[in-house]
Amino acid sequence: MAPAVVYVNECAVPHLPGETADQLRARYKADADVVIANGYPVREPAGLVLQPGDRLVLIRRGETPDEDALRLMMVSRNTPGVRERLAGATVGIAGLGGLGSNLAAALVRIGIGRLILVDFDLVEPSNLNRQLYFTDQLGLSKTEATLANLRRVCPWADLAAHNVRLTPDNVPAIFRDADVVAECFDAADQKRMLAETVLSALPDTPLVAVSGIAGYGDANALRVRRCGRRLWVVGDGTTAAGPGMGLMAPRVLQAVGMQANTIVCILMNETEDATR
Amino acid sequence: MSEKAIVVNGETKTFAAAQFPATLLQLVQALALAPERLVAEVDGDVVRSDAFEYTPVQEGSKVELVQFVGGG
Repeated sequence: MAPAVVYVNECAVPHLPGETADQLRARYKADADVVIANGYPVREPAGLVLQPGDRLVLIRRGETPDEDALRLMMVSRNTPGVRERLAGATVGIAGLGGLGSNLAAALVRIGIGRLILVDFDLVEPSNLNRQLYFTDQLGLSKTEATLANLRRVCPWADLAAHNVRLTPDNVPAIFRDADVVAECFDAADQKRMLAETVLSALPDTPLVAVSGIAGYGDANALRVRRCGRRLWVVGDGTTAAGPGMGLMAPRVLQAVGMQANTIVCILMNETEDATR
Repeated sequence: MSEKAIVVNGETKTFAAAQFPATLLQLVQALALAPERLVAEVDGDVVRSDAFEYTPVQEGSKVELVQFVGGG
């Protein structure tokens, strides 16, 4: 039988029965003032006895660790057990507007391995009420601005950007390697085109789409509905953007959260959770 | 009078036998939905919008109709 271990900053070390988080801190990183065990901060490390397989992350606030350590510490608040699965995943994002710019940031933060980012448009002032861009990015292509923003969060992120308009002809090639595709367009006809194309031309790829998130109002009106085997739709299904009906950060970000959570459930093979 | 049922988005829809839709397009029209906004699956197979008119539906078919509205 393999000897029992615990993981300190993701390195396996021998597990000594009865050893506390405080004793491990003294041995491996005595100046750490943040102690995270199994995804949750520990208030009193002296009182926490480690069990075999536990994961302890020791962080000194204010210190920028080297890249290897930083990569692991960044996701130390993730739920234990998701890291390897997410790091091996590729997610395609069709459109980098209110949905896609924010979804990409959420997915980079939790350590998704690779993102395929697609948009043809430029950042303009009316985007800024909901899209993850900044005034000094006005006029940049959305792909260029998103790449810059994501690299500030995670310099080593594996990002592929395509500054093109998606059509039924190029969708299959661009998203061929995606484990999941997120539909993040604004226009209804583009949303429909993407859904029809992904479902018919990429026979195994799940799609998480959005329909009906305009305006503001009852937060509980937005749902995640599973439609058939490979399609999930976030929204109320009816509230369209149009004259008199705006699009604003609160509901758009609510939909982004539901979309990102559904993608994690799909990647973790726990899709019942997405629709409950 | 006999009735026939079809499952749309997980809900059973019942039609008088004489009014039961023969095609996906007739079903969509009977439900007062706009075909140009829909993505459809019949028994797990995606049906492209230009084929609604030629796609038969039958008693007991499981149909998913997803309507896309703008905003994002």
